[in-house]
Amino acid sequence: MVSCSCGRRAVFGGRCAEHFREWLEGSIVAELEKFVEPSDVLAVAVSGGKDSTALLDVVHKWGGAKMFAVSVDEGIAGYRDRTLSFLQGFCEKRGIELHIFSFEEEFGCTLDEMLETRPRERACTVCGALRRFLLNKRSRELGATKILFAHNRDDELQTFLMNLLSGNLAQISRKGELIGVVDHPLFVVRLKPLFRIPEKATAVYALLNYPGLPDVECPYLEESARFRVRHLLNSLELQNPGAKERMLELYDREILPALKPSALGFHGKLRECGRCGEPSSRELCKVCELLDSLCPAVKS
Amino acid sequence: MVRVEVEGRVKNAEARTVRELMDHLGVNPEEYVAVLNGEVVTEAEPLSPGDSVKLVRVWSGG
Repeated sequence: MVSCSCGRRAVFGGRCAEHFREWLEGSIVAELEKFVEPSDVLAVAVSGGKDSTALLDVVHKWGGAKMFAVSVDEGIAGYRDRTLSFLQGFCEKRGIELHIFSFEEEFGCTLDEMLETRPRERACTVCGALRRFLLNKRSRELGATKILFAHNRDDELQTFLMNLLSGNLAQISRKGELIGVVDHPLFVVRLKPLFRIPEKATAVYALLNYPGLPDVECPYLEESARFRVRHLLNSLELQNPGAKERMLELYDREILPALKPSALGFHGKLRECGRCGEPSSRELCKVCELLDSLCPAVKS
Repeated sequence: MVRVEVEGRVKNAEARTVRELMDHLGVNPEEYVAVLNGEVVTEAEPLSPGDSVKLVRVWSGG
């Protein structure tokens, strides 16, 4: 048996279940205490998946600021209905206020309908942009001062690598653990308290703590560029143990500070979209532009 | 021999540790969590004949 220093069986990183829980929850709380003020109102963005469920649970138990949960129903048949059903039960049991916003109500059509006649590879790009838009707008209306996203270390590295592969330096400069502090008053600051947590650690945590978590994957995932990059990174890690940790250190300590958007002039002043009024760097924001092509019959 | 379940398929395999089992199946340890006889374990965990291992995929996607 592989043992923890306490003698019990190890479950992850040489720690037993109890010491692993302490380590993971302590790591998340340390990030919260670094960036959250007691006066903050936190909107925890949740999907009912392993990462966001763990984040919501830890933030709720921490209790260092007022909080509520926000979620998006994109309209992905056979997937989102199951994760939302789990999430509703999870929040109800713990007395957590949960707000669900839907693509259909907000934009007039579901993600499945938007992608009916379009390449499925675009799913993550479309879905991500619309979800961020909706979470920002609705969380702000509910009084949130920060939105917490459950992006883990692997998600962040995948995004970095995807932007690197497409040569998008401006996008790389806009990422990191804390985003949007000075962007625009309508733009709610985003914090990623799982930024340093390996994806496998949240999977182990979920297996230990949430036996009812639905074992479902987004049907669009396997066709996405992110899926391929994820495999690439995992293969690199297998051949070079510790590669992800070294990459995150370099990204967080050297690359991001060197690419401060202001230093590079990427962030022209954000203004408001001429149609929907949300923050945008252009006359028509990306979401309104997307909706014109995806939901032509419905204007935001 | 150990009994292993991965992606809904059940097989029998010879392996001394979880890591050896994963290598034998061509499974990347970054992408799967091993559950040995109902308990989460690390890849270094030794295996004994008759053990039952479930490899759970580290699923993701918002």
